[in-house]
Amino acid sequence: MTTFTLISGLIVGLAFGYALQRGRFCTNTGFRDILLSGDSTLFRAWALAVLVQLVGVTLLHAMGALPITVPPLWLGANVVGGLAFGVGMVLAGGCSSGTCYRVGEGLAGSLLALIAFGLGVVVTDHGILLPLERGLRAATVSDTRIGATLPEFLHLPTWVLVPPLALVTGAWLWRSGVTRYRSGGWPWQVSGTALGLVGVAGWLSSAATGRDFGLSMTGPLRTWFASLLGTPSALDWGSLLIAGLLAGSFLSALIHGELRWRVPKGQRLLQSLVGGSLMGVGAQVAGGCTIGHSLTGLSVLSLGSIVTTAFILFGAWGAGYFMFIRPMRRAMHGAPS
Amino acid sequence: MAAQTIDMRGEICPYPLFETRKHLEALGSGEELEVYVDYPLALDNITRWAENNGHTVVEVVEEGDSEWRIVLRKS
Repeated sequence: MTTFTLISGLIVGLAFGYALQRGRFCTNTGFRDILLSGDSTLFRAWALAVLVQLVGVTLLHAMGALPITVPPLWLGANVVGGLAFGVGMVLAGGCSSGTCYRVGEGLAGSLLALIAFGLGVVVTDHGILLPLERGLRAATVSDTRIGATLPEFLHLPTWVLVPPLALVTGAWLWRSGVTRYRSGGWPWQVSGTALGLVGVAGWLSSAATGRDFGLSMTGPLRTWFASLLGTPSALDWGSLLIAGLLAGSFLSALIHGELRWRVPKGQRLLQSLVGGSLMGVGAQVAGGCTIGHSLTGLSVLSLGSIVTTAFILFGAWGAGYFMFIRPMRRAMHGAPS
Repeated sequence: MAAQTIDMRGEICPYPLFETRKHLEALGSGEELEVYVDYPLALDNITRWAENNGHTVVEVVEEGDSEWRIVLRKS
C-alpha cells in the first residue's frame, strides 16, 4: 500500500506537470488573457478540464466506484481567502499550478512565489495567522445549514443538474475554434482533455490510498513546508503528486528546449514574494486554491469551491484592473504624443 | 529597421504583452517594433494579440533555446 501510494501519486504528478507545461495551463493566465486581450483560449482549456472531470467523477461516483469528499463551505473564509488568492496570483504572475510548473521551467520569480506560498500556508495553518483562519471559518455560514454542494442547495439530484451543465459548457466549447500556438504548445482542446483525465486519474489513484479527493496543491504544499520547518510527516499521495508535478514540468521543458533560468528585475521578485504570500494565506483560509477548489472541487459541485472560485476571479479582476488595465488606458489616452 | 526595440527577457507574464502593447500603440501606423522574449507563453500571447488586433507579425526568429525576436508592424 505504501509503495503503491508513492508510485501512483508520483505518476499522476508527472502527467499533471507535463500537461501543464505543454498546455501553458494557468488559471491566472486564462482569466487575465480575457481581460487584457480578449483572448479566451486558456479559459476554454480550464472549462474543458472541469467539464471532463465533472462528467467522469459524477459517473464513477454514481457507479459506486469512487468515494468522494466535498470541500466544505465556509462562506466568509471562502470569500476572504478567494479574494486574497486572486490578488496574490496576479502579483505573482501565476496561480498555484502555473507557479509550480514554471518553477520546473526555471522561472526564478515563480520559485520565490512558491516558497512564499508554502510559508503563507504554514503561517496560517499553525502560525501567527491561525486566529484569522479560525475566526473566518467559525463566524460564517457553514455547509451544515445550506448543504455542501449545488445539488443539495437546490434540492435537486446530481443527475438532473450535471447533464444540462455539461451540455451548455460543451456546446459553447464545441463552437470555439482551434488556436495555434507558435511556440508548439498543445491546443486548448488537447490540454483541457488531458488535464481533465489527469484529474479523474487523480481521484481514482488517491482514493485507492484512502485519500478520497482529487488533485490539490495547498494541502500537499502544507505537508512539504511543515516538514521542512520542523513538523515532519510521512510522505503521502499528495506530497508525491507535487514532486511529480515539478519533475514532469521540468522534463517537459527540458525535452522541448524551453528550460532556461529566467531572472526578472528586483521589483518583480518582490511582487512574486508578496503575491506568493497572499496566495498561501488565502488558499489556507479558503481551504484550497485554483486546483483544489477551481478544478477538483468544481467537479463535485462544491458550494465552497464555487464561492472561492468566484472570489478568486473577482480578486484577480480587481488587481488586474489597477495593475494593467488602468495604466494601459492612461498610457494610450493620457500620455502626450 | 524597427523604430523601437524592447527587451522583455527574464520578465514575468503579462509584462511582455503589456509593454509590447504600450510601445506599439505609441508608434505611428506602419512603424515596426522589435521585441525580445525568452518565455514561450509571451511569444504566443504577443503574436496572437497582434494578429487579433490587425497588426502584422513581420517575423519571429528563434535566437536560441527559448529565446525569440519578434518584429511587429503597427496597422
